[in-house]
Amino acid sequence: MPQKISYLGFRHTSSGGQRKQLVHGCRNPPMSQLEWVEELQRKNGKRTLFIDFKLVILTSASPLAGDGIVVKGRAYGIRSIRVDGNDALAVYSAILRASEIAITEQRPILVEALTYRVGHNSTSDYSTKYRTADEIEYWKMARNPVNRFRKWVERNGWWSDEAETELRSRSSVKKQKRQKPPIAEMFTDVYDQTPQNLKDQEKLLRESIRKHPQDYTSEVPI
Amino acid sequence: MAGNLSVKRIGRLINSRSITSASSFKNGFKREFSSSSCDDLIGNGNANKSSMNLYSAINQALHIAMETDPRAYIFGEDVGFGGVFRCTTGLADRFGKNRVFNTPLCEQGIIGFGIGLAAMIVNEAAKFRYRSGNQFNCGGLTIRAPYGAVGHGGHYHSQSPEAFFCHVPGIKVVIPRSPKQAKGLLLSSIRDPNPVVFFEPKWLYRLSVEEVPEHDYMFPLSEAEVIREGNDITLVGWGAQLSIMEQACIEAEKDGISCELIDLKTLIPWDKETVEASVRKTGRLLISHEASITGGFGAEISASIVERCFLRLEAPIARICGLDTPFPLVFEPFYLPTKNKILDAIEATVKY
Repeated sequence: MPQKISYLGFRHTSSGGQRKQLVHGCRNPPMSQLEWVEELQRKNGKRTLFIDFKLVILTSASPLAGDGIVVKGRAYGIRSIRVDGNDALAVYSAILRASEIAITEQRPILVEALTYRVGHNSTSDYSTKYRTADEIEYWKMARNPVNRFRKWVERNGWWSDEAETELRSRSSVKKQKRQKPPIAEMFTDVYDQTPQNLKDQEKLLRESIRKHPQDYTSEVPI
Repeated sequence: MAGNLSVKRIGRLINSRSITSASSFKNGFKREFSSSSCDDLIGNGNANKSSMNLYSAINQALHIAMETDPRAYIFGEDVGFGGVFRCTTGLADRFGKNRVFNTPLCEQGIIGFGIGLAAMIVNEAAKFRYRSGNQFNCGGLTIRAPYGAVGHGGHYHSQSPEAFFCHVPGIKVVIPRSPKQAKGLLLSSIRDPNPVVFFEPKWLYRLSVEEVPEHDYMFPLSEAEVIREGNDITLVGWGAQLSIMEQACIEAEKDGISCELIDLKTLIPWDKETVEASVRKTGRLLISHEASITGGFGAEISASIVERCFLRLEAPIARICGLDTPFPLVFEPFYLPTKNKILDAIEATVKY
């Protein structure tokens, strides 16, 4: 009978993460990756599943010398596997197997699920500066993971274009513009209790809103 | 601190000569400030100028720095292809990959590489000269970082962390308000024999456009500039906030309040004399910055001026700043120190 996992650790790392997270001294207080995992195990009675989803840009421009994260996991003595992150079924079976091992053998597992970042890194990024538009298009269309999964679902007869059209027309697709939260919520949750300085600032802000309503968007309820 | 860091290790200035470099600029509304005393410092009035925005001015300054000092090099996140804000465009092509190169996305490593030891700005760069009795220094280090609100940055891409760095003896903190200022201040920072943290207002990278002389010029550090003269109240600020403050000054003028506006430019060591002289003239002071009010740099200015000008002050020193919450996304317009908040404070101070 598999035991219940008392702690499940998820970590999603980006293309930045792969270059810094699995290197010595990455934690605060600084400790090696292995020490961190052992710490987690100590705290949670050795039932730690460590799943690392990797997001990587697979271009020739990538400056990384090593072979991704999976080799670093092995170097730290963590059983590791790399899967195609664009293959939903592969990711599913890998995670299923990983959780079985973590529960029964009580050891951490590292799953490196590789995918491709289609969008720009940020609103200031011009990613065509370091990769071709053709490459982006290829990964967006020909290697699209959602389409791949859809084809498998359709081939099994569980879905079809007709079913999709029918569902879309049935559901009330009227997009309701989600209302913005009220101004009071700007001051809550900074701490568990709202301190006096924030209460004072809320008063001053409301005074300012009262005097100059044109400065503030009406989308935020007062 | 989120965002990209670009670090340069620059040696001493060997010689300077003017260069003409092609600079691209995008159209944006001009932010024009009142007559600037800095024009005298730039040199002859017939200097070649071209209209450019902040990132182009910074790009030009970097080209000049690299050209005038063969020991200079630039490294950091994505500088090789021009940087995510375009500030390092053309540098790798012109000066080669040995002098302009990318580093991994690891700020710890970038700064450590820059000062020769794997440690941070506070513990290593700032203390280098002091703890070695001036035997060694890392004065050649200039760290450029974008900062400040940008309209949609949210928690992690809108921060103004200047106050943290102002609390570190041993480094200088410099913040330009416009492209012309940025070029001159950046060249000064690079050539200053102390480590400098140079904050560039993200908001202004494209939006701020002005005529920038094409030759090599510098503005002195630790000298504040009076960019608008007045008699009734002194306002002190830096970076992008100054244009908001100037709008408030213009409106206050219509109500008969004459405002003197000062750009601090260097936050540490800051120019107390200029601010003090102005407050002795006006008797009132208002400080405004985007960063949150508690523990912000305005507090230091306020405390110092009270020490020096207590009997001269006609009213308490006002601070109009960001609120004491993490920088919000949806609530950004409510969080920021707006023109009207400043205007209300000007009026309250004058009528005290």
